[in-house]
Amino acid sequence: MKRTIVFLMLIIGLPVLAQQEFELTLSTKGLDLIEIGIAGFTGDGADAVTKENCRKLLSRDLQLTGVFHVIPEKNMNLVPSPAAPENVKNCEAFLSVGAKVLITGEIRSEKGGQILFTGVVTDAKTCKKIITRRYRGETGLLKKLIHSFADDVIFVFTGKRGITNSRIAFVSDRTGHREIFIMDYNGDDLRQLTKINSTTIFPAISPDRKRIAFTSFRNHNPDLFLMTVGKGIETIYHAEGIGSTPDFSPDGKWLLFSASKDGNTDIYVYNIATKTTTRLTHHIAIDTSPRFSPNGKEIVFTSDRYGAPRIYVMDRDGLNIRRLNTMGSYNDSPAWSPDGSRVAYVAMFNNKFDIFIYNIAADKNIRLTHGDGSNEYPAWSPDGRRIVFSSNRSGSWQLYSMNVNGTGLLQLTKKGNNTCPFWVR
Amino acid sequence: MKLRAIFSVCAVVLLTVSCHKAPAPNPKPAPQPKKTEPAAKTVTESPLENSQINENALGNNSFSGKSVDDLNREETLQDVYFDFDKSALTGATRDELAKHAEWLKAHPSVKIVIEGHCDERGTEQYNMALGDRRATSVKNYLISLGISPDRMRTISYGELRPKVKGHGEWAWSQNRRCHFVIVEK
Repeated sequence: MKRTIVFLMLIIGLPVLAQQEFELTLSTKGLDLIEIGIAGFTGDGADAVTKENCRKLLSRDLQLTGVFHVIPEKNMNLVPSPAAPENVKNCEAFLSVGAKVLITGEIRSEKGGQILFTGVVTDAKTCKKIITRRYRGETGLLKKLIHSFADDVIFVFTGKRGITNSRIAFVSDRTGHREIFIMDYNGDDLRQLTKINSTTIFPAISPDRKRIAFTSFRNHNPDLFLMTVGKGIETIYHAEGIGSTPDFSPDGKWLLFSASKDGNTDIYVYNIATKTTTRLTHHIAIDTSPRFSPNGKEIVFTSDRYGAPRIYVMDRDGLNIRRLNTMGSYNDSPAWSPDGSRVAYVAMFNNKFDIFIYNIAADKNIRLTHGDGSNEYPAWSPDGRRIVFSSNRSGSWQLYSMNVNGTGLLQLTKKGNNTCPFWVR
Repeated sequence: MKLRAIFSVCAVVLLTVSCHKAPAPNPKPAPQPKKTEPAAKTVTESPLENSQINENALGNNSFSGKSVDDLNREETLQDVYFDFDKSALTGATRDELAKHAEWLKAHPSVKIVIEGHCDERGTEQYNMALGDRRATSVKNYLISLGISPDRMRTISYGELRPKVKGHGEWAWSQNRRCHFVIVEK
């Protein structure tokens, strides 16, 4: 415990001493982990390997919340699992290996290719059940059932639904050129979304998940496109210049983007229903990377109107532009947190980027990465607890996710180069 | 490239020698006004060779015989470079663009695409805009030198297509550029 505190102090560093109060709350959050033990799953619905994989999946789901610490398998294996999940008797033994909360699970096969997953959460101290949940579905959906249980467990302990069924869209060059892919929030079940056969970047997915906007060189120019499920692809913006960095409004009716005319990139908004475009900024500088606030009333964006690129906020109509007090000399990739209180962004140090979070009300910055490669393009998880980003720390560009205090790093991709993550809301 | 330059120099030397232009490269100027006259005459008498000399000077010795691909492969219009995070034209870039303008004037049928590129350091989003601004500032400068805008189109590749792979100052300086592609001749 103590060592972790010292370590956190070190990475937070001296300049943050002035903001100790804010940092402390964050640190406590990170340190007050719930010690949770997951016993081996039982039941006839899956073979031993699958059962073990399911246990690992649940373990990873809970670990990734940054709220739980999952007791290592080797410790859990010292205590025999109960034959049925509801039948926990030896709570003291689980307590002795450090598990304050115990999860037991059973995968049972049912008629018609269905399976039933029963998950039970027990308080090891009192040996009383906290919740019992049952999930039924086709065999192929086993993973989803486990994720749903994880989300319920997370809800019980945090009051917020988990994100284990959420997905991340991104750009990968694994096919030889850049196309848009999508995967589970933990890197599983990766699938190619676009097959345009031309460089395609900056994906954004609508809140109803039926539309995807992106920039593509499909017509030998970086244009903006909108792909609707079952309707194909339409061009939103094509002109000599760029159509770039789209973002959907929270109600899904508007598409914010940056585009250039005569070499000057400004911010525009497109009405999807009426197919009309309105220009929001009129400055001779570059204005780019616009993102809606979660209530849709404000827009955060990057501009180099006073020299280097910096982060600004304006009202939805393009008025009332003000600068955010961010770190470093070159900022971009602003992303509003789902609760609206913070903006994640990148700042350049020694020719590389690191990820920061700016707290609007407190006017404070927190640094999440520390010069390990270049760390770019942050995007928030729907519950606001994690951030996905792209880093070249391994030598190639890969996606990682981490908790909003910089802990709990998880590598999500391994093949090719992967950039521009968009966490589907 | 180098070979062609050497060849061009040789060609110029050969021509001057065969034309008996006595001191063409280092003229001992004043005392021989009469000798320049026949030399000038010889040149006007062979207009083909004359044009060859001009084109040699501009780095191309037979425009008509070459395909668009040949012209691009030979880097007829060389890349111009920028400072970090800047789209302003440096002195060297203006000089190079002046040469490009001359060549474009000498070949009025040529149409080009001006590609704007950035080094890897900035963000992908900002670099898309910066590459666009670079290409446009080059286009505007060429317009100011008398080249019709109808003959030029810009495209930004941001940091997507580095010319040199690598992560040092030199690689970055080579990648912050505008590249010219001849699309019609």
